[in-house]
Amino acid sequence: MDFTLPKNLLLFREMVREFAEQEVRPRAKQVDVQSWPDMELTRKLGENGLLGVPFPLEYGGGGLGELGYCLLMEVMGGVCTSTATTIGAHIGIGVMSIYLGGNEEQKRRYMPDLCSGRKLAAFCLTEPGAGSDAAAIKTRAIKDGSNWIVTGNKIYITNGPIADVMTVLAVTDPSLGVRGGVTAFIVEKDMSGVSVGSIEHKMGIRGSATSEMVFDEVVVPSANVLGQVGAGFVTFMATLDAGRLGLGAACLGGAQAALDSMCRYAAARQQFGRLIGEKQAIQWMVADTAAEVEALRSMVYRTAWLVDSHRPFSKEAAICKLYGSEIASRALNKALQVHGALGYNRDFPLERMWRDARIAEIFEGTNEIQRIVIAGQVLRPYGVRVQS
Amino acid sequence: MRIIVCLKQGLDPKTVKISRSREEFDLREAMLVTHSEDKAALEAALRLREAEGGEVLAITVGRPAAEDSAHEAVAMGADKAIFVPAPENLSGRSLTTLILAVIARLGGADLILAGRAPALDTTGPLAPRLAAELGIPLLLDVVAFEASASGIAALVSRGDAGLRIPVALPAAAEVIRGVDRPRYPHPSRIAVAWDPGRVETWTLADLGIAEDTLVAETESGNLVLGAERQRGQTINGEPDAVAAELVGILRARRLI
Amino acid sequence: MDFALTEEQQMFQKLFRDFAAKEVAKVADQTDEKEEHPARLIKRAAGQGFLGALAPEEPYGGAGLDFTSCTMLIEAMAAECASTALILHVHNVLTLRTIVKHGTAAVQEAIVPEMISGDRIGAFALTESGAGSDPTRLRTTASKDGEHYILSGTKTWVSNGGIAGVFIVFAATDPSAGAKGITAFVVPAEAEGVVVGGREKTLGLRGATINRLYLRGVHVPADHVLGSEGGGYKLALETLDYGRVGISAAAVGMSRRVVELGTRYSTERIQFGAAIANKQAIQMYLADAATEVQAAQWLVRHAAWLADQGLPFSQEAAMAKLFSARMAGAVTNKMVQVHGGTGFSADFPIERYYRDARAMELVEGTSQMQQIVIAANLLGPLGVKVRP
Repeated sequence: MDFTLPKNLLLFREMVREFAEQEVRPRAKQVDVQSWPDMELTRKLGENGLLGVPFPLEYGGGGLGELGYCLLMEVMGGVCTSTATTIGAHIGIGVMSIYLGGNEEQKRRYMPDLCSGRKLAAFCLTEPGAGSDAAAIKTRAIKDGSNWIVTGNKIYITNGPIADVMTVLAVTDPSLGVRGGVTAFIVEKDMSGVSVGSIEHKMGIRGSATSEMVFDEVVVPSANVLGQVGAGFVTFMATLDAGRLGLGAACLGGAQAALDSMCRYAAARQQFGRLIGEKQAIQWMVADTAAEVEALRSMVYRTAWLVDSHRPFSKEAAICKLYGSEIASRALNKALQVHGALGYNRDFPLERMWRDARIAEIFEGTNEIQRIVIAGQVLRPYGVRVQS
Repeated sequence: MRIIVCLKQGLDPKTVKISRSREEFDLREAMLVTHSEDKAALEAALRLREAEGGEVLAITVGRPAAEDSAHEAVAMGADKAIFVPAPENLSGRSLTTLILAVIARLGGADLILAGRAPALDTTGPLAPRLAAELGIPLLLDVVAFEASASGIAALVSRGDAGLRIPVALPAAAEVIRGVDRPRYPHPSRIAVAWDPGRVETWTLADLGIAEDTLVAETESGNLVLGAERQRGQTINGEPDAVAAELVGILRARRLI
Repeated sequence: MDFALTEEQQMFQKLFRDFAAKEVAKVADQTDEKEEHPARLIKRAAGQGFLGALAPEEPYGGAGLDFTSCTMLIEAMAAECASTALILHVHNVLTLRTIVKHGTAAVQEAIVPEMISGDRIGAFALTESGAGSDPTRLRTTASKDGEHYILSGTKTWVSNGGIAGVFIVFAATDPSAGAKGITAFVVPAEAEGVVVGGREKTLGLRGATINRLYLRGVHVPADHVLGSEGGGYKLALETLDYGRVGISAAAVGMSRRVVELGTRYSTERIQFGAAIANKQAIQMYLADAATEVQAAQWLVRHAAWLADQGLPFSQEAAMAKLFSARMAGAVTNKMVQVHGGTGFSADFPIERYYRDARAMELVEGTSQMQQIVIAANLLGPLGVKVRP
């Protein structure tokens, strides 16, 4: 068992860290204050190859696999969760859905532009009545000659307002339910009938653009059916599976940043004549956080190895998301506590990180859904069927 | 057009500490990096290649870990890199000898670049020595090259301004960092930078050089500690007076 | 043992809850979103006598409430708007009660009627940048000069600072004597040399006005000393005991409301064909949360009752604060989760409760300081001195 990173991934991590310090950290506060991404930053991410990291070189990707993607997300998650969310939605579920579900022609048509950041991707699944219950979607696609007419509303779409290419899940045969009745489509923002609906105002990750997407009788050519008609649900669930680990890695970055922050402050702040870091109450917080971060780190990178070596990874990815989101929240909560009043102050970045972290337990499949996935996997060999 | 860039790996000055109690360098957390000025030299070379065409070759000489710098050069965009494993602490002259041997084996170059040596590097200036040995013109304080119909020109730093000097090739240049930082290596190039053939290892034997002809650097001495820098300054008083004093200090230090 | 509220207390509880539902609820969202001080609301509250809660009916016409009733006032306000609750708490519990108990007759005559009418809001200036959890290290000085004291120094995190008409300021009359050299003063806001500094931008409690306070050679008459010279630290401790119970009541109020909201939401949100209230996981969350709110409620009630009986209540106050603050964080967090995506949306109130609740573990003594107090009371009698 070799736990060292190969040389090229060490260099990649170095590159991402430098980029994050030079380009992302200075913008982190502003994107939160302006409640919108920095499009100049998005352009630089694309130019520097950071929007296609895991995908094969032949499609214009970075060729660095899931391990590279996790390293990217870990660094970004520690510097600016909003930026990590923009990247994660683009790579982890947007481009990923085309990579996993598209045919060769579709991959060659879309992926080079997406991997280079010339175009941005979004993943359109959720609807007002279909959150955790993704099968309850109502967006409809009706065959019309060699086209499909797509009508419906999607909500909570990350990158919606800035995306050029969207994968949209729609019902093609209501009588079949999710097994064969649901299809994924590649929709381009310039297609007639596509519009950005209401912009979502959020407590955190305000520097990530989230909105409703409205599809009003959008004419989608059958060449844009992602994979097969009726195979959409499977593709979308597989995509969520694949994207989940990236979120776990981002949470790892956030938790590590929280740990670094609490240690720095504990080593600087004095009360009662001593450094607060010399108090056991603070030391316990540090130790507990460090232990959780260590455990999460091992889990995330082992799971990345499972993905890259084409082994099953569903349960492990769900664990990384579940555990990672909770660890990050706990770590940031403790870090905030260590900082006292300063942690509650908006002139200091900690409260932004605390607000940003909360969404991780909710989106990309709530932690309740993750628990259902994990319980299902674990209980199946015992003959117990776990249903949502 | 062929451009050769010499890159060295050394201690990252940001990670080198000084132990005042033991009166020595504290290298426990020191990291090895490619010298940032050498990367600036590579960046200048890559931009010139983008304008004029040609090839950029990187040369790295040093301990085994230094091979990473060769791969990094390829990841940044060099067409190829040559790595020469060599003993630690080579003298400047011996380093020059090795690099000249590589250049000769490569068949020469139009432009030979090296970054200005950083403070912790004790081998001394490389580009001037190469220029002297090869009998070619030397340019110093170069921040970039430009290509035009009339040929190549070097942009040379002169304080806040610059000088544009036409370059007669072949030439050597010592590059310093300009305003633009060197490019980040692109992930798609990082992915393949360790693939076979990107970096060639040339041994001393390949170069026809006997190890006992190489000389170690002879610098030695005791560390002389300067006065301990105050970690900060406290200004007491009423807010108005304190603010005025702070502005005065920042002005005096030309920070505002 | 009679756990029932008296008839009078029940009447007050209804009065407070009706006012909150009618008047506070309608400005709560805006107060947070625009970070506005709810001036008109506070005026209306004054009209109801809420700003004279802890002043006796004779001779100045205060509401003369017992402390238990005052905690119910704070609890009821906090159910709708934690910022409003904080304003009333700092005014009544930290400032008004202390002036009534320890102020000279002359000072009371000058200050108390205006506090009751709402023309002078009260604020409490103890904390400094080097004296947070450890107030004995405060550096604001008060030097005697004939019949006056001259106060010089800077106070931080003064709640109600920017809207206050009167401050209680703690200063060192004898810097060499540590805790025994601290004196409490009543300082009118219009006194020369009193300068209110910038308003803190905070994560939550955004309708509260929290400022720095600069004291630049403020002349304070000798009869403005609260209690006695050198008795300031003891006075602070006594006030903080009341303060802990008051703020705990706020924690209970916001938590109870958020559990109500979560419970109702779970019956309305349909996923997987049924209301999510039908899922055991949600039922567990609600059960745990409701139980914790109840436990906190009774810790607060008991501590307030002890105070009303004139019995020592320091330990109970610290326990109520420790438990309620943590409970508020945990319960609001859980109810965000029950609300899913809407829990993260700034268009719904839940995330405001979550942000407001986070302050509870920091203000009026951090949870860590409560632990110190509680442990000291447990171990002191056994001969172990507990030092922070």
